[in-house]
Amino acid sequence: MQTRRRHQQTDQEYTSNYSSVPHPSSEQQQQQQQQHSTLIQPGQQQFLYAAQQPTFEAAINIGEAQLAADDADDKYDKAARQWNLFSGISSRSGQALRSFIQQPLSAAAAVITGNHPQQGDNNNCNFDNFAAQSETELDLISEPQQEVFIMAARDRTGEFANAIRSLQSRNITRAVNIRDPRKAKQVQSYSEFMMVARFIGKNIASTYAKLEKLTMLAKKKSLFDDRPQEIQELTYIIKGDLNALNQQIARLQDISKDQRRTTNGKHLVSHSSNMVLALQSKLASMSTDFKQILEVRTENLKHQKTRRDHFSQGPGPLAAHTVSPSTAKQGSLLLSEENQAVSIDMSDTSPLLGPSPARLQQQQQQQQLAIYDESDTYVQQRAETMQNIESTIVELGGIFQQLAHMVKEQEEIVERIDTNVADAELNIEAAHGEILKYFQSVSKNRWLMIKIFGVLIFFFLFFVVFMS
Amino acid sequence: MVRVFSLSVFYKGATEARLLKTTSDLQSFPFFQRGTVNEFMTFASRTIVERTQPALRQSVKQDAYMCHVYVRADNLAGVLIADHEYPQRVAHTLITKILDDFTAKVAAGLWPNASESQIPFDALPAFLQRYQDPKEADPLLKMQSDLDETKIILKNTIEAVLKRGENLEDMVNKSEQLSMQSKAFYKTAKKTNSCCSFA
Repeated sequence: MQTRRRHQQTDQEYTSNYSSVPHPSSEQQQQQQQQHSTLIQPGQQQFLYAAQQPTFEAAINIGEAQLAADDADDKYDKAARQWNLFSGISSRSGQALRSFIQQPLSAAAAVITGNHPQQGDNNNCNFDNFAAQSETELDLISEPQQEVFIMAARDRTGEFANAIRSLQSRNITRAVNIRDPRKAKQVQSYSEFMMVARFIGKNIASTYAKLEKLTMLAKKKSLFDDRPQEIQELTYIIKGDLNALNQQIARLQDISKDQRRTTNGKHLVSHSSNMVLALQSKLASMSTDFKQILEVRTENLKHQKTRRDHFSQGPGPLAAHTVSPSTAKQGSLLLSEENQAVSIDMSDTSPLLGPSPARLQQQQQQQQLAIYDESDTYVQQRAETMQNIESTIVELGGIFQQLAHMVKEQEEIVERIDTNVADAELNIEAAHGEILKYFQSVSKNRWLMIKIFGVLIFFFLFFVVFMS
Repeated sequence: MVRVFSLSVFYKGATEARLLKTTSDLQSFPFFQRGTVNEFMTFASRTIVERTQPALRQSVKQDAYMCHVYVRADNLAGVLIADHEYPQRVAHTLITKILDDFTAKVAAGLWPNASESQIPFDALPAFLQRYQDPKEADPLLKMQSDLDETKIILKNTIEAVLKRGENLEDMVNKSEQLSMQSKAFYKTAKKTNSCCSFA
């Protein structure tokens, strides 16, 4: 991006500390951290810690190397510590002096930009009275350092002024060069947007790193290595970060909406909306990850608790929780008595076993267990019996139902039998009638037949008799 | 077999246990051993009561017997000596019941100091006799056994119903056959009746 390139150009002239100043102005507004947080890079800090007489050359190199790394969310009081360290070292090398001088100047610049928290126009600081302020700030900064031995012997105000001018002109120069005021405004707002977006991206990355650390902590499953405080702190920090990121993205969206109103560039608008979308999706994925981690953590906590209970569960907690089985009036008394029975005198409670003194200890243990188990057992047995009875009754209910069902089914069969038998009766009655009729008819016919045959036989006999 | 041998009520004083009432059923022992057994049981009960903390139930195995003891919070204790088969839960329920009864009948002031003959609690032997049968003592157990009986009866009933079902099936088939045959009979009769010629 344009702005970044310009930075790199200027850096070759000035030290890294100057270059690091302008960007994080917005970041500094976000963080209510110390004013000098952006100045000292962590590598530098380590170096300072490592050796009493730090090699300032190395420090400066590291500073330059960290040009692109805009990690502005270090939470250490680097500047203050560095001040103390520097003041403790009375070195007379030129390089030491130079870096020593650089600190107040860069600190001044940082302080100034940090002390002007303007939400919308991060980079349109009051550069008019900048120079005047710088003097006062310098004095303010250099005052608390009582142990400063050597003051500046080189006059670098020229460089300083150039740096300021470059800062000042970073945004306005481009606008001045481009004659079209509207386009200048476009570019300016676009660069604002880009900076905010970059800042948000950086924050997302850092929060993600924290989330990963939390994941590692939460995934630990050992009972003893748990560090609940750390985890809680980290959770809290991540939550705060997520909220802040949310707000920032909302702001970014507003900015992009404003932009949309003022600009006509279709690509610019679509690009900004895409960026906002991408950032939002990243934030959403991170929050879902966070939620998952929290769930995993709660599950682990539960596991740990059950394991802990399982391994260290004695009859003590059981006895304390049993409800008195006896009459109501003894209820609370019994409970309280049982609780006091923890410190029972063991030597008296093994009447018939005749313990020898050597085994007394062991038996005390067993006796204690046995006693708790006793009271517990009785109650448990009663509860068991109750449950048995209840289940038996339920079973009985089921059996009755089955019985009723079966009987109902059989009722149908009975009805069928009934119909069949009725049919049979009907048929038989009818047949009986038929046969009666038949019998009657048959008997009638026979009588007639007999008569006819009798007559015929009579005539036959008559003819035979009269012929012979 | 399930037997209760002796029942006693003690008062657990600060230094020793005072026997308030006792009764025993030693029918199963030979005649000459009864005295010894009685003394032994008394001694065992007293020792156990002395060695048990208040508000505690205990069951101690001793040779062939089980001693169930329950010391109440107000230092009134009950001891039940039975054989191994007597269920523990029932024993403790019994003791609780007896102690409650005792508390109702005998004033609390008498406990620490009275001797055995002064305590007017004569229901104890009756209890002992009645509770020879654990089912009688414990309503839970009674309910449980009743329910089990009912369950068995119901099972039998269901089997009977199943058999009835089979019979009914049989009947249906038979009645169907009957009806068919009667129908055939009727048809035949009708046919025979229709052609009237005899020759």
